[in-house]
Amino acid sequence: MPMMSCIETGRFPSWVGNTGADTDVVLSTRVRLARNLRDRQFPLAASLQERTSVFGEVSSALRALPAWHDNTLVNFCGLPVVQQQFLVEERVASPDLLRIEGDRGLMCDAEHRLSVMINEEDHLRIQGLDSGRCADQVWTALDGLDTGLGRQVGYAFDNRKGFLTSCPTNSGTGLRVSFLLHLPGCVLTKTIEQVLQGASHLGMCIRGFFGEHSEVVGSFFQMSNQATLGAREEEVVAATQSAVQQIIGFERTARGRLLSEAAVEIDDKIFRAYGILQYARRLDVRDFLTTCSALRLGIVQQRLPGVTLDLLNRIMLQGLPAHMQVSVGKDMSDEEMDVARAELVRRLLKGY
Amino acid sequence: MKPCDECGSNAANVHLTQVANGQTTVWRLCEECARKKGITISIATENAVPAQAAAPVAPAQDIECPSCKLRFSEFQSKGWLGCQQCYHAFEKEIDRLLVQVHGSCIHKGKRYATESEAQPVTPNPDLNRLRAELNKAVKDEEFELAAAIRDVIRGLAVGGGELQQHRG
Repeated sequence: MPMMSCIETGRFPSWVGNTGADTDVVLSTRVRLARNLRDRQFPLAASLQERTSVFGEVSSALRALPAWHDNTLVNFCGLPVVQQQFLVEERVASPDLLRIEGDRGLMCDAEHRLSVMINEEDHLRIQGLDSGRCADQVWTALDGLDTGLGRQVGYAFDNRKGFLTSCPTNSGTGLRVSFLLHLPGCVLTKTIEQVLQGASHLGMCIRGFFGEHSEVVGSFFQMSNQATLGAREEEVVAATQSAVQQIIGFERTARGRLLSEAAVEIDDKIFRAYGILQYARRLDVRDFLTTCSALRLGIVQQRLPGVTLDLLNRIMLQGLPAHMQVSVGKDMSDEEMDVARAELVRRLLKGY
Repeated sequence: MKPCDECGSNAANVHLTQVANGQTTVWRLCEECARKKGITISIATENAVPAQAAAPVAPAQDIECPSCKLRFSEFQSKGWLGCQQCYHAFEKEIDRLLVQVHGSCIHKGKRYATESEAQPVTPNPDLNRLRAELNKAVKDEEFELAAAIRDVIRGLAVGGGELQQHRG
């Protein structure tokens, strides 16, 4: 079983830790670059043979980089779906990677700080990911990897349009900086609409992180830059950092207001959630994420002693469907999974 | 939904608030009339292709990429290009799309060159052609495109200079 690190070894991806800045609002920062090989058909238009050839060329080029020699290479072709989904939950693979045919997959380091998806919408999606607000550090590491890899393979690049991507919405820098945000204060004070509008004026795009379509579960949002062309990479990173700092400010103000005006209601919400997580016999994904969201607010606002953010972050990863299936070691129905999830959370929180 | 203030027939789904000389005017327009007034409708998702670029093209204008054989209409329906040469084959349409999505069609970021520096996919156009394109865009009231072409003209000297240094 490739890369089942946290289940077999107890080692978790770096982004699960509580090490970055502003983790009361920002769970993690992800920065990615879209790249394609020169003079090859883009992956979605390429034949299966062409995809196999690109997969081989990119993985050998990565192996040739000194720091990447021992990193794990995963080919999704022939990999059980549950393991593919596991890697989506670990956030080194995109859901789209599951829907593509032929040789495609990823290579990443043990802590998932740097990873490269091969043959997704573009030949290469180079990603840096870490805990909290850390776009500058992640960008620096990613830039280095991109430059090194660009010496091994030839990128499709145009002097006027920059790096050429399968969809023109990514061309130019190919750079997307995104932050995973927890905004319960803005949601509860009903100021979230203003925040979303404000972010859009700053050229940012925000959407719910969990849940499908426009539904938002647990007040988790993802904010990223809209434009990838027309500005330098450092300017894009600075603009997203500045936008996210404004959002952090709004969120902290909203939380302050809630705790001064409605402390009992907020504490009630937090401790009810804690009770459910410690005692429930059945937890579906929605219950799970909603209660974890309230618990997170309690931990970071220091209303709830005894549970650390590290522990909650680990629970929020281990309780996701593919992680549940892999840890139990068999396929489960939704009902069985809800029971197993409640058991897992009770055990980790030392409930009853 | 209310009808458009301009044409009176289509549904008005674009609300334009114009402030000029201290006077505030509110317009309710349909997408088509809004576009005629030079307003682009931004779409708040990462990969969405704006409505204008997705409008059907006449078969005669349905260009085919000579390299990968993808037709422009296929790009519109699928949302992805087949190869780097598509950027050259559909250059005008893609420039327009880039301006809509990014507010620019000129890369200012990281440069990339390998030892066997290939020819640019989209060759630097000559200034006369660009000036003609600029005039046409102004005449057609496509101001965003005009602004982008102006940036290209301004940027040509700078970009060319950088490239020279790179090669030297």
